[in-house]
Formats: sequence, structure tokens, C-alpha cells
Amino acid sequence: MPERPRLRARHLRHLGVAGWTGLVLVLLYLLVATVGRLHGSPTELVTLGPEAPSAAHPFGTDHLGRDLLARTAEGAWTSLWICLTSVGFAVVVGTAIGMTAGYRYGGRLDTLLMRGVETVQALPQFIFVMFVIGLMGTGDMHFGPVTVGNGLRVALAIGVGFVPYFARVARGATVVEMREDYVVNLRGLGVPAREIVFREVLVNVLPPVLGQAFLAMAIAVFAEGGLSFLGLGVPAPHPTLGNLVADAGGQILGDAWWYATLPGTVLVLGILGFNLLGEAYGERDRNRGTRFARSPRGGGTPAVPAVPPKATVTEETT
Amino acid sequence: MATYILRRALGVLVVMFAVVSGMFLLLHVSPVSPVNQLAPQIAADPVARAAFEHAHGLDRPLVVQYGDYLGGLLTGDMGTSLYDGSDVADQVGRALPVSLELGFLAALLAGIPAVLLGTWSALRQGRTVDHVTRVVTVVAMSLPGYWLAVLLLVSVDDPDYLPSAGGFVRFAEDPVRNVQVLLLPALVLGLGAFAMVTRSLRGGLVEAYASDHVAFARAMGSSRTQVLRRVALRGAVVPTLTVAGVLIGGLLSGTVLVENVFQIPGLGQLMVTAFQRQDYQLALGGCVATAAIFLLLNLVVDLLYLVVDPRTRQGLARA
Repeated sequence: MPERPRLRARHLRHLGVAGWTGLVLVLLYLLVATVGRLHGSPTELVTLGPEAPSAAHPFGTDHLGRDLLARTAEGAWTSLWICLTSVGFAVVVGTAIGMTAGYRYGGRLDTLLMRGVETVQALPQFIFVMFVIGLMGTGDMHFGPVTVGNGLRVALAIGVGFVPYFARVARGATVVEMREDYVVNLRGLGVPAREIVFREVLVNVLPPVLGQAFLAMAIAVFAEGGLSFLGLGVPAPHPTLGNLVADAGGQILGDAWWYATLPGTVLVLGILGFNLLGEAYGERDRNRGTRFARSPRGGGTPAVPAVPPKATVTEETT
Repeated sequence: MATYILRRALGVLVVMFAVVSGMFLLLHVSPVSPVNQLAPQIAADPVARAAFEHAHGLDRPLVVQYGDYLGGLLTGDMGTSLYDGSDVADQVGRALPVSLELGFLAALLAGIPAVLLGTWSALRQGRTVDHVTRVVTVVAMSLPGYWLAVLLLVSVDDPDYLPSAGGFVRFAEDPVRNVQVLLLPALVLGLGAFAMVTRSLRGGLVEAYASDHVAFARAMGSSRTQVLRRVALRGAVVPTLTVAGVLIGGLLSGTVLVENVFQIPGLGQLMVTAFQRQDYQLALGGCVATAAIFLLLNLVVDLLYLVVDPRTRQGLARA
């Protein structure tokens, strides 16, 4: 465990403006989600009809008189939980598929897996997710004793849609890593393949995959909102950011500006935050990849001064 | 090069076949039955259920249904809707042009300002314009279209610009009204694409300007505009084409959401209604049509590489 804090600090220092902004936005999202849950019940009727934001109800109340801050917070938690589950699922499954394909690079299994990935990607991602939801229906699902609830169902559908992306990234990284000297050397020393893949290669494949995970989070927040918005996600009595916005659109309360605006702003906080974090991560990778400044702008110190030679090789071989 | 194009087109056909087969089989083994969604006097009564299944051929062996569906697809027959018995191909055929028009309009509204802004901010790299562009595009990329659409619905009062107020007219009936009504949806839909094109074009231009080609062209006495037009932009188009695939996917997904907010009778709305009613035949038809468009557009993008970047043509000749 002594390694851990030092690593963290180094990551934070190189976040850059975009990264810091992203972090702050994501923290704000979490803050709203936490404070709102402490604020009150999302289903209790506290006023008669919609009321503008006030000290008692900072986000106002909705068309039934429910406290909108509490509902937004509940929705933000649900969305976050669904997105984390879906991206987590996609990272695990995608990395497994991608590394298997990359390990068997050029083989029959590689071709088979990548053809599968290509087929899944023949539909735009959101439409594919809709299709998967259509397959699973909108009720709870039962697999013997295991019941897949509604949130988990949506999470799985979104997750399946992300698998191809992570599989591609993981495969590319694995192919590069397997050609590295250290793998050849370890093989020469007689280390079993399983150990090389899980102990050495996996560690080097994960960083690019996790970098994509931030961007995937942004897309997942968007997609979850979209699905709930269309009525294909978590159903109405339970608030999510998507069906809050949908409710606001359906009720068309011309003067209730807060109804659509405030929950939507929280939604944007989440998407923007994860987008910026993903961008900061990508920027860091790019700076590490090219030792020589590619833009004449020059100003500012390079994000990571010490260039590991491996990274340069990676850039060339891909 | 002709063989390359042919090979790519064949590849698209193979993927298309895999997609259709995969979707068909998954739908038919899925635990959700379309019959459950019918009126209770049919869904709950075993005799009526069997009669309905027989009428729609759902009681035949899966292989026969599959062969039948594939054969039908080849002749342009996508079966009939399980919900109201209407012809699927006909419904898709009516919805598709609307979606395509919306997508095309969005691409147009996104593309032109994106090219201008991307070029401008690359030329003023590191200055205020560049910074503002960067912030604006990141924000624009993160604004979900369905939220913006709802905000517009709430704040715009003029029914002439809102198709949701029953004001949608087809292009053939009244072109001016049609474009007017589609303007707001197209703007919402195009916002994300605008941001992505601006960013990638700016990135590509900055990279191109740092290259030796540009320095050489300048040294040989080409003017700034000549360098921009003949050297820098040509280099910057290639990375921009690379994001086109993602972009097309985003536009296709976006139409689903935007059409639903604004009540535009396009393919997206058709598919969502189909999924909500679990009308499999119709949903499958919509998905097949979307996949076909997506694959075709991606093929076009791949072929555009050959037009834009002569180096790729060279590579083909050698391979």
C-alpha cells in the first residue's frame, strides 16, 4: 500500500485546467446528489402544484408538488449507479474479449471475436442499446433465483453497447505489448503464458482502457438519460435525470422554467465533468507519446517530463 | 482500386447479413413475446393466442421463419406489423425520408460553421478565439439534445417553428414550411456534430501547420491563403474524416431522441413506438434500415479517404 498515495498525487498534479474543471464538476454533481438526498423524500407531496425555487425547496417543486431537489438527487444517484455498473461491466468483459483476441492476434479466434464486435457496431450504439432493452422487455427478469431488477437491466444493456469499444482498445494495446521485449524475455525464462498475460500485460493494457472509461461514463450518463427519457429506462415513479427532463417536457408548464432547467443542469454537470476528465486523460497520454512538442505554442511545461521509451515505441508501432 | 471498392462493398453485405441474422434470432429466442402485448382477451386465452400465432406464422419452425424473412427482405418485404397489421416496409419507407432530411439538414447546419470556426481558431492558435472555441465546443458536446429540445419546447412560443404542435408538413407538400419546422430540431441535432468537427478540424490544421510541408510551401513563396487551401486543409481533412464514423452514429442516435421530443414522424419515432409496443416485426425493420444506412454511410466515408488522400490510393496499388 505505500505506493498508492504517491501515484494518486502524481496523477492529480497533471490534470491540467480541463481535468481540474472536470473533477470539480463531477464533485458538484455528487454534492447535489448527496445534499438532495438529505434534503427530503423524493415522493412526498410537499406543495400544491408547481412552486418556484425558494429557501424551503431550492429547486422548486414539480407538477405534483414533489420537492425537485430531492427528486433530482435521487435521479442523479440512480443515474450514477447505473452508469458505473454499465461501464464497469463493459470494462471487464471488453478487456477480456480484447485481450483474448490480441493474444491470439491473427488467429481464427481473433477473427471470430473481431467479426462479432464489428457486427455489434453495425448499429449506432444508442440504437443497439434500445434493441437490447427491447430484447429484455421492460419488466423484471428472473433467472432461476436471480432477479434482474430494472436498474440493473438498463445498466447491462448500456454496458453491452460499450463492450466493442473496450474490446478494440484492449486488443490494440495487447497486440503492441505482446511484441515488447519484456514479454519475449519472460517467455524465454520459461514463465507460463497465463502469468505473463495476467501479471505483466494486463497492467499495461489497463491504462488506455481506463482512459476510455471516463469518456464512456459521459456517454453512459447521456444514454441512460435518453433511455429513461424515451420511457425505455427506469420507469416513471422512480426518478432518474432522464425521466425528470421528460416529465418537464410532457407537462409543458410555460412559466415553470425551473422544472426542465435545474435537473437538466445537473445532467450536463455529469456529462461535461466526465468528458473533461476523459479529455485530460487523453491529453496526458498524447503528451507522453510525443517527446517533441508538436505544436509551436510551446508554453507551459510538458505534462510528464520523463518520457518512458516504451511509450514512443507504442506510438510508432500502432 | 475497383477491386478494393468491390471487396469493401461485399464486406458490408456480409456484415449486413450477420446483423440481420443476429437480430432476427435474438428477437425470436428472447423471453419477451409480442403476443403478451395484445389485448387481454387474446393474450390470456390459449386458443386465441394460438390462432394469432398461426395467422402471423409464429408457430412455424424458427428456420422456416428465418428463411422466409430473409427471402422477403431481398424482395423488399419486411413482413407486417404485429400491432396493427400494417406493412412494415411501407411504414419504414414513409419514415425514412423524413429522418434522412433531418439528418442532412443537421449535418449542413453543423458542417458549415464548424469548418469556419475550426479554421479560424487554428489560425489564431492560443489566442482568445481559440480558447473560447475550445470551451464552447466542449460544452456543446456535453449538452444532451433531448434536454435542449425540451428547453426549446418550453421557451419557444411560435408554433411555426415547433413541429410538435401538429405543425409538421412533408417536404413535398410545402417545402418552405417543412424546412422552417425542421430548423430547430436540426439545430439541436447538429450541435454535437458541430463541436466534434470543429475540434478535429482545428487539431488537424494545427498539426498540419507544424509540418514541414507548410514551412516549405511558405518558403517557396505561397501566400497564406494558398497554403491554407492547398496544403493545410488537405492534411486536416483526413483526421476529420476519421471522426465522421462516430459522427454519423451520433446523428442517427440523436434523431431517435430529437424526433421523439418534437414529434417528427421519422424512423426514430417509429422505432421507439415499436419497441414500446414490443412490435417486433416493425422494430426489426427499423433496425435493419438503420444498420443499412449506417453501414452505407461508413462505406462512403471509407471511399472518401481515397478521394481526399492520394497516399491511401498509392497504398492500395502496392498492396
